[in-house]
Amino acid sequence: MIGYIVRRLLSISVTFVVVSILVFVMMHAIPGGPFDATEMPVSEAVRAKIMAQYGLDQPLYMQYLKYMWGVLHFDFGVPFQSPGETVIELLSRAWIPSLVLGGAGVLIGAPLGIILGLCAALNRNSWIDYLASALATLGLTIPVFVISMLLILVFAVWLGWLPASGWGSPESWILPIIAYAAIPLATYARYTRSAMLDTLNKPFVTVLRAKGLSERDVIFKHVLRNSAIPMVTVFLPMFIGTATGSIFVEAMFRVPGLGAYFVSSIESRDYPLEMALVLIITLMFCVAYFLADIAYALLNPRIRLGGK
Amino acid sequence: MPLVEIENLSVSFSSPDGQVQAVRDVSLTLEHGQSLGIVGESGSGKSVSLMALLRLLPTQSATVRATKLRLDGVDMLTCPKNELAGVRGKVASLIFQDPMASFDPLFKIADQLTETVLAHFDVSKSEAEQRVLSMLNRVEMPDPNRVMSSYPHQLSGGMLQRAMIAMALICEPKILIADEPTTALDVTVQAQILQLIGDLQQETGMGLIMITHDLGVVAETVNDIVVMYGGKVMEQTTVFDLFEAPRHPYAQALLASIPGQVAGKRKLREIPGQAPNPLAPPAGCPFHFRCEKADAKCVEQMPVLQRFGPNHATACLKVMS
Amino acid sequence: MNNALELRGLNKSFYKKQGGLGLFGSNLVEHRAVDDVSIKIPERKIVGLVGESGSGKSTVGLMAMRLLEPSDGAIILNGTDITKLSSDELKPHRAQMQIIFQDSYSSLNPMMTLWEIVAEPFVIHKMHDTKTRRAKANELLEIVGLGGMFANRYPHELSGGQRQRVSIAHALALKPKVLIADEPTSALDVSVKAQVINLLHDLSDEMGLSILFISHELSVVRSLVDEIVVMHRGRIVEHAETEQIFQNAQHPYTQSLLDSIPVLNPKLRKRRSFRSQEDIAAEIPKLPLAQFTSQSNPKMAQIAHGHLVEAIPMEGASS
Repeated sequence: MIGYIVRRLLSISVTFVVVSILVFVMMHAIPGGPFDATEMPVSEAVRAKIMAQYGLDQPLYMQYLKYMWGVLHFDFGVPFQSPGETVIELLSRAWIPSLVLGGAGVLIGAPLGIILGLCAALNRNSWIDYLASALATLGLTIPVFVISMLLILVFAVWLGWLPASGWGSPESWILPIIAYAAIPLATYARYTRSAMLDTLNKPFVTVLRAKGLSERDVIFKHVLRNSAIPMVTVFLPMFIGTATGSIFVEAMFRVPGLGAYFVSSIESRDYPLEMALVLIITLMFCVAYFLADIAYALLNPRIRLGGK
Repeated sequence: MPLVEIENLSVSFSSPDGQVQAVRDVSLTLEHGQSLGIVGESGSGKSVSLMALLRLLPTQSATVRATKLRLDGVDMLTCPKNELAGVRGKVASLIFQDPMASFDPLFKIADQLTETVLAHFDVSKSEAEQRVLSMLNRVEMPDPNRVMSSYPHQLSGGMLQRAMIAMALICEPKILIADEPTTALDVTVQAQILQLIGDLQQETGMGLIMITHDLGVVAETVNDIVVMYGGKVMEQTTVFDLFEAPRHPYAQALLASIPGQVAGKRKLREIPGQAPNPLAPPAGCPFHFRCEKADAKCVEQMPVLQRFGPNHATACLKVMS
Repeated sequence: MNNALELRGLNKSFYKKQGGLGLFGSNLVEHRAVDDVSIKIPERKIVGLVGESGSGKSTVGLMAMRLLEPSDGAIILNGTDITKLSSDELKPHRAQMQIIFQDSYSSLNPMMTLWEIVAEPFVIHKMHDTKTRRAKANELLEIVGLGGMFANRYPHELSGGQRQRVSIAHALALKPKVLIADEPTSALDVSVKAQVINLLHDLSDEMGLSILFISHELSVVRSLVDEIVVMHRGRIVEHAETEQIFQNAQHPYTQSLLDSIPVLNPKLRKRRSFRSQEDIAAEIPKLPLAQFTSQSNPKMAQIAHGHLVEAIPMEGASS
């Protein structure tokens, strides 16, 4: 088990480094730079001074190593578009609306989705199964900005109950969170249902019933635990994915979150900010996959104890 | 009162392609302490009949009809759900083909066996574990203490099937239903498991139903036989009569097609054609289009099970005349 | 007699990690899945390779096809050593030898009709035009008993036995000399099993096919093959003509396999005693060194013409 953890840690660290190199190289490979003549009409001498100030005149690998050395000390540099603060300061300010929106969306959508999926699987071919399948299909096929527009139209424009956009008061949070919760609700419901049905169709479930276990024990002691294995491995990374991926919803409801900075950092070639965002999201995914691997191993004796 | 009474049992499944008629009008009985083999190929309805008896078929897709479906006097058709759990495992136990798939991979063998005891008896956990250990010894499990603390993936197929038999018998059921219990095992282990099942039946006096496609298995283990084909009973007799004087053309052909009965490389007697389509079973005898003896009557008319003597019944128009 | 296929001293080792962190590969343990296996398949003959799960019999079949690289040993197909050929050099030889498996369903492309499946080898080897391909495919389907309307059907419309016939037709397309059949009848129902066994019979008799028939079913092997090779834990323990094995088996493992065949007569039911692994090891025959096929590396002793048994060499022991 310790060997397994060490191996997973190593492979995740390698992933992290490879992603950081790839992103760094790709970022610089795109034609154009932050201080091009079109962006900043200044003399060549001044441009060279600015480039030197930000270290952009050095070879790429030096820039990378320097940046990563800083990252190791939690120094992500200074954003080009807002030089008055560090990247960390900017992110900690913009992070909050995104975190509230993404977190609340997942915390509402995921449990509801899991419950819906469970009910659907346990009452196969009943009305609740059909309802769950319909909701899941709608949630997955209708783009989130269409859902957002519908919500704005109904609750803000027609009924006038809630504000259409902004992030000032708590009532302005409600619509974006509902819109965003639709995605995890649909995916979690779908995945839970299929993981449960997968387990329910296994021969050992028939054996459990045949030996006289009550249906409650069959489901709660055995089926749920077996279904949990594929569920945690998918849900943990998915959780991070949804908690960070609210760009569209933020744009629709004009939430001043990370999404806006992410887009503008790419547009304006704000290397330090762009890199910091990618690294943080990658790190979160890496941690999520690592936790998922550990959970998988803890739940599965075949991994925990090694094979025959 | 017989241990098992099945009368006019029919089972169909709804599928995207229509109704699959898996079992058609099957009747059979088993007295206490007796052994019965149900022989048939895949799709003959042999497993489905017994799953229907224990009400283990999925309620959403399976339709079960019967004039009588009794297990040790309990009417399984009307038995309420919460009482069914008390019958399963206590009155009748099942073992299946693939021992690896029969255990929950996440629990130790000890947990899965004690759980069975605790489901039926009001005893302490340590008392239940004691029973498990002595049962494992009874099925001649090598190193039972190690087996108890093992997970399924740590044991061989043969050991798991022994553990499965122990789990099936731990609540001293009145009948053991074994559904292809040796098909997934290695040849040398197969013979050991069959002998073990036979021994345990003798010792405990329980009834035994052996569901199999393998005539060799029934020749070794049971006294009575039901031959099924296309969801119907073709022949019902003692194992001795079946091997000595099979009456139904299907039973005859089946016995003749077994490879390796005589010395020398030779071609086998084959049964031409394929099993009938369960979505649209033929109107007449299900075997008619593979049968050498069939004529126009067999195509139209469904033969009924006809008695010949006290221990032999056959469903064939050609045998009657 | 010429050998269509000869396997000479095949070995296959797998390495398993044992204990520790397993990071540095220092504690790898060798596991010999196949240990010094030599088999000759004479032209037009069927050789049965018999053993239980884990005996290494399927690994031998895969190595013969070069689907798995042997750790050591040689594969000689129609007199040509194909052990070290590159995949380009191997291609013309590949047509000479084909393999079929137990699970025929997963090896048939569900999107293709039967004639397309059977004609696929022609496409791969760029042979014939479409019309000829189709005609030849129909001919092959006819041979395996799936003539007429079957050509345009899809695999999911077939029963297990019919699918196995399609994979046999597919394997026959390039007129191979050798067929490796890995448990082709084990998943089939009793009433169709005989059909497939008889088909293999005819192919060997009428088309001159040489077959390596890998199986755990001794009763099937008895009616089909000319010689039997018994494998146990990666090694050959006995090799003789079929009836010689059935009537005069010398190795304790072969005997325990034979003892476990069910007796098809309920009147002859009897209690059996079973050999443990220790019993088998203790009962391996001890024979004088002169009887061994190789005096320098004694493993197999010849006890009669063409009857080889794994034995322990004894100085001065009487046979």
